Amino acid sequence: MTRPLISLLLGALALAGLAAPASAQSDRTPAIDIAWNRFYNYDGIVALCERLASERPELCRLEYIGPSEEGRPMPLLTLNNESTGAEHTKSAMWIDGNIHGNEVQGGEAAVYAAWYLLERYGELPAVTELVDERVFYILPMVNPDGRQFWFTDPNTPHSSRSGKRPTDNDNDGLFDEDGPDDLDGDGELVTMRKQVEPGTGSYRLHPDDPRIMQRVPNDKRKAWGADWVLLGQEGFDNDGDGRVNEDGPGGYDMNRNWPAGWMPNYIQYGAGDWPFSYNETAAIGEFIAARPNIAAVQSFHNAGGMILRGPGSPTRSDFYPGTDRQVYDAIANDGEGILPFYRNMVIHADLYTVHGGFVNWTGEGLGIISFTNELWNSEQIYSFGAEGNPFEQGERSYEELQHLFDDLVMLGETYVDWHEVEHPDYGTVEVGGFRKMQGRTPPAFMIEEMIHRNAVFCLFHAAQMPKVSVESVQVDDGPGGSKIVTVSFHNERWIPTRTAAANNKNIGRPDIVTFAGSGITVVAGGPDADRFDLADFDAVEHEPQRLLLDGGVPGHGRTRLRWIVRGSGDFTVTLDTQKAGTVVASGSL
Amino acid sequence: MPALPLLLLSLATALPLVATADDHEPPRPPLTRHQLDAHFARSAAAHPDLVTRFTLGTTLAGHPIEGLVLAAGEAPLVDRAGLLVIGGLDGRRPGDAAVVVALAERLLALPADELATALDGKALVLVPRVNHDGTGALLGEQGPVHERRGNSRSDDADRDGRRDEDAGNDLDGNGVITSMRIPDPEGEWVLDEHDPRALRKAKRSEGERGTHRVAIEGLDDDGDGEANEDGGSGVALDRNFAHGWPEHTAEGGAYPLSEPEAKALAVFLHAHPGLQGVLVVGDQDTLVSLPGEAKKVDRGGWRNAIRSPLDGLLKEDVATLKEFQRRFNDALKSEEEDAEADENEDDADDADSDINAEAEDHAEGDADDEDGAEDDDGEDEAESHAEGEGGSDDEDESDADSEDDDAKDSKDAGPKKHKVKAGSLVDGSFLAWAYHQEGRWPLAVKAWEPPTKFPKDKDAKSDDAKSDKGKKGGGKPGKQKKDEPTNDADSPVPAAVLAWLDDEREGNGFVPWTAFDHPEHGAVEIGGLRPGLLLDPPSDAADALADRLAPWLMDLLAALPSVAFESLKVERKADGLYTLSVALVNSGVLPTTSKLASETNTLRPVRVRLHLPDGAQRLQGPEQVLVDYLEGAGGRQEMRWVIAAPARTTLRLSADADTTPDVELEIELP
Ligand SMILES: [Zn+2]
Repeated sequence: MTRPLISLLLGALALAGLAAPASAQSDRTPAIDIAWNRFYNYDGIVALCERLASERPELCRLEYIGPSEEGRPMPLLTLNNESTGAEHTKSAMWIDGNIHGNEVQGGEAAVYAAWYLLERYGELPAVTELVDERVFYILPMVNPDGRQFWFTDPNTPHSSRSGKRPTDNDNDGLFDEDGPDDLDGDGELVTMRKQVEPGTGSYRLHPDDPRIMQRVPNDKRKAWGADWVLLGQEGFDNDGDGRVNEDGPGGYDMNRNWPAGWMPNYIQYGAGDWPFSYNETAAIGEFIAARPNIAAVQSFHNAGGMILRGPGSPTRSDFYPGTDRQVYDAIANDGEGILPFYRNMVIHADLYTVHGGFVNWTGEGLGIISFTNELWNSEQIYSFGAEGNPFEQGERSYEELQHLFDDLVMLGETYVDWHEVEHPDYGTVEVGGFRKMQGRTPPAFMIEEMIHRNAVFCLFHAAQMPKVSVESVQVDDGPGGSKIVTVSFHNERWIPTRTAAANNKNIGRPDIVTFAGSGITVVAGGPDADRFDLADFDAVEHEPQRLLLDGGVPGHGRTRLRWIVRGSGDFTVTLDTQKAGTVVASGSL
Repeated sequence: MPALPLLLLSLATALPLVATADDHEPPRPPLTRHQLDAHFARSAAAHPDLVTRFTLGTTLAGHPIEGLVLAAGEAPLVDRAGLLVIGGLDGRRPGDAAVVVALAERLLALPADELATALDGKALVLVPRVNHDGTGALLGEQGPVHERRGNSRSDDADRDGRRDEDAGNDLDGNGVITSMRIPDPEGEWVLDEHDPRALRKAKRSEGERGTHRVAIEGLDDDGDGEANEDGGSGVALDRNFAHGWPEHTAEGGAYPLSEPEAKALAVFLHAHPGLQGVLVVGDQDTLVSLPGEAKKVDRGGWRNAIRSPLDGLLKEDVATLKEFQRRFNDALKSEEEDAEADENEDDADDADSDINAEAEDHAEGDADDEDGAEDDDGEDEAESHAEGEGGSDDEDESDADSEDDDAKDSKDAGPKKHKVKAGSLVDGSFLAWAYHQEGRWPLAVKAWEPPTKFPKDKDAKSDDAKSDKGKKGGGKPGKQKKDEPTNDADSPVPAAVLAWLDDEREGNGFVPWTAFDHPEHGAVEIGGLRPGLLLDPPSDAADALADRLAPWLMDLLAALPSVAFESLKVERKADGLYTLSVALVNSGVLPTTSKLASETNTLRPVRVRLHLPDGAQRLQGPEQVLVDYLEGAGGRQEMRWVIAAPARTTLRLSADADTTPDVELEIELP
């Protein structure tokens, strides 16, 4: 398909997006001064939200939903300029982050999006338009318990993904009784390794750098004298069942707990007892379901540099009809430009199968154009210049790159060197490895760029929500003294007022177009009116004064309706949509 | 309080056994919420040691969903093994509640000590009616009497931005929304020559044109050209569960467990893992037609685990259900022996319960797989009775083809018996969820099917009976054999049902067709069967089913799994060194859990632990053994330890689980 020229306004948005951080970092003094080169724990994010709401009360409201399983209220910001209309009369975008407790940067990215809109309102026309014409619902922490635990307790980059409802993962009737243990009490959860008889291990130490473990192929173990084994995360067999770390804190995945292709735990790990079975997912489900004006969804995760859309399973491709896929691609293709190192991908085809994911629910259950971004791509950690990426080329392991990065860029900040510890089950072992802040999250100095680019990707998506106006109202003379009224509504953005998914699956209601005029009788009416041939339109059999538009007003397109009427006086034609408010055309016979 | 509850009590105590078809007791009307409440109160007051009232949850409209727990002893319910019995998921079937109530009465009429023994450490949880909101429509609590399958959830079924704006209308003002028959040469129905009150399908293949169409009594309230297309059926509670949930349908609801009634059931069952079987009294059946085995089990991964939803049961579980069925049929056989003593041999084949005859077929072991394949349509068949042409149920429309196939099938199978076809767990149903996602035994019974046989002597007989009802063309005994009245499965008014109403109900249940000048259709007739009549089991069928269920459930309580340590062997190998071996054995009839539960970890396995005092040490052997699945009647798992301990040390072995009583064994070393 050919892409229409990006409108002037969107051009302005893209420019503003690129220019803003430079000016913010140069001589512009922020009105709401927040440090974006760091992460915040639960209390920190709450404090940022409170600050935004108190500094811009006319545009931003803070409420708390939930609370979480451990009782933490979940701050949710609503950005809406009440003076230009109530929330439900405008297209709204939902933005969240951090459903996986360890994927913390989504929280900062979500708050940044709110901050940027408030900070630059009245200054950058593209931002002002978004704030005046759109609504944003921003929930920085879907999983506040997992986030807080990740910051306060020993963890790896990958642990504390779950929420904190105690869960019996090993089916022994006990809950969370055998998680990892910080054996040496240094506050870090790293890896255990143990030296064994040469030839009986599965690893050896890298000849140039003994910090690095080299995996030895099975048939080379004797020959190479493999003398080390890896024993997993720091921990011991707390419950004496012969297994280590098999039933840690929580132990489920809230991003598998949504009612779209949901599968039970034995098919989809972490799914929960049923959709919306956790406090957090239930609260969000209730909030979103009550707001049919939500027309765009963005969810922030880490890591890998991806702009993901559904389906999560190949069996659900029919939820993404061609016209919707065009919209997804239109947004994500520019997204790849806004987000260097990120790729436009489909969850099941390019990543892995997910049943019951959040954006699957909003996309397939609610018919909303929805993306998941995986924030941060570790290709950014170390550059070999013209030689290209040696990891991609198979010349160096990712671990080697991580060490170069830690040694030369982080000056050792993100690594714990191997040291001996006595282990209750394994005897003397060594523990060491990268700290939780290395691997899935960027270093402090790269946080601001990451969250800015992701936030403005949301703004680009938000700008693509339907924006409908009256294109023309035309009155012609009809046969026998009747009049022919033709009204055209135009949508100047990519997202239709009703997606093809919503139309195909009977989600929500069609748009309703009502003709009203006190001195006027409607004889016939219908959609699909030809521009020139006045006799050419799809006259409906019943209720011509109230037309139902199943497909709404298409993206970058129009819908043209026509009525044959009798009488005289003023009339109005009202387009009433769920996703783009109400648009009224008027005229006179 | 009206006299009805007293009547119920006296029936239960004076007639504990079968009320035969010939008794022609007038049917009892459906139980109201107040009558159910009174029943709970009486039961709890009469048996304070055995009966506890409890509230499962609240309907969307705010009615409490209540039930009874039958249990003996002090243990809390959560620690008990037992079964959950529910009825009344479908608002159009208020009689299902009567089955559960009658069952409770029969159980509580048993000798107190027998009951106390059977319920020691165990529980039967009985919830007669879940869908009070839907039943309220049939009981006339929500305007004119009408059918409402689901709860009180409002919906925009026709997606026009208006909710429930075009339901049926009580045009003739008789307080009941029945049917309209509208003269229409394009219609598919003709008046049945055996009883012109009834309708049969026009035999188009023989060149016969239809004369009528049938619609729900009503108007096109919203002027969209469709009548009664957004009538408010609510969400069908038995389609609101997560296994095979019908996504994006009005009946399925917004998401699994979106409805408070369904959610309450799910939360309760999930929180009570000891309730290892659920018995649903409703429109499904798994005891007459066993659910089929999964055709393909998709396995993979390093544990070879099940990777996608099953379309049937695991074969071990089918085998166990066969045992449930065998016991159910045994209960039937003893009942039939009683019945045969009373009944004429010739009539035995025509006995009121066609279910019974079918059960025998299956007991002989035929065609289990076929039943699995036929699956989903049993209930559609039932639904189509009620909805007729006027129905706007999506499901019926989309399944129209398969219904036709069914009609063919049943013709091929011969006209003798109405076939009960509900042999698999229906997608989205409570039962399917209870098995596939909670690992419980999926037991279901259907109390009744509407009669489908026009009595052989009917024409002659009915001529006298109701010559005043304008019936024409009576007694043609010669022709009748060749041209028996058809009983189209989806006829809104089948001749056989009218004959049955005439014989046994003095015609009650049929509202005579009355001319009406309809603003949209002109001259029509309004009348037909009362709402719910083709679905709702009558009270004698409810009683008959309760008669069978009561002894069967007592039998099942005794058959629940029960583990013990056996074959204990302790050997002294050296000073202070012992080997210990023991077997955990299931002496119950049922396995410790369903095979599915053990494969999918939906119920906890039996956990065996060896407890050592200070000074004793485990040298070899596991600290804990999780015993996943022990089949019934002697299923066993051996285990072995080497222990260092002083002589005369006392060790302790424990086994605990949710589905069997916990056991302990103390062992003194020699
Ligand atoms: Zn994630």
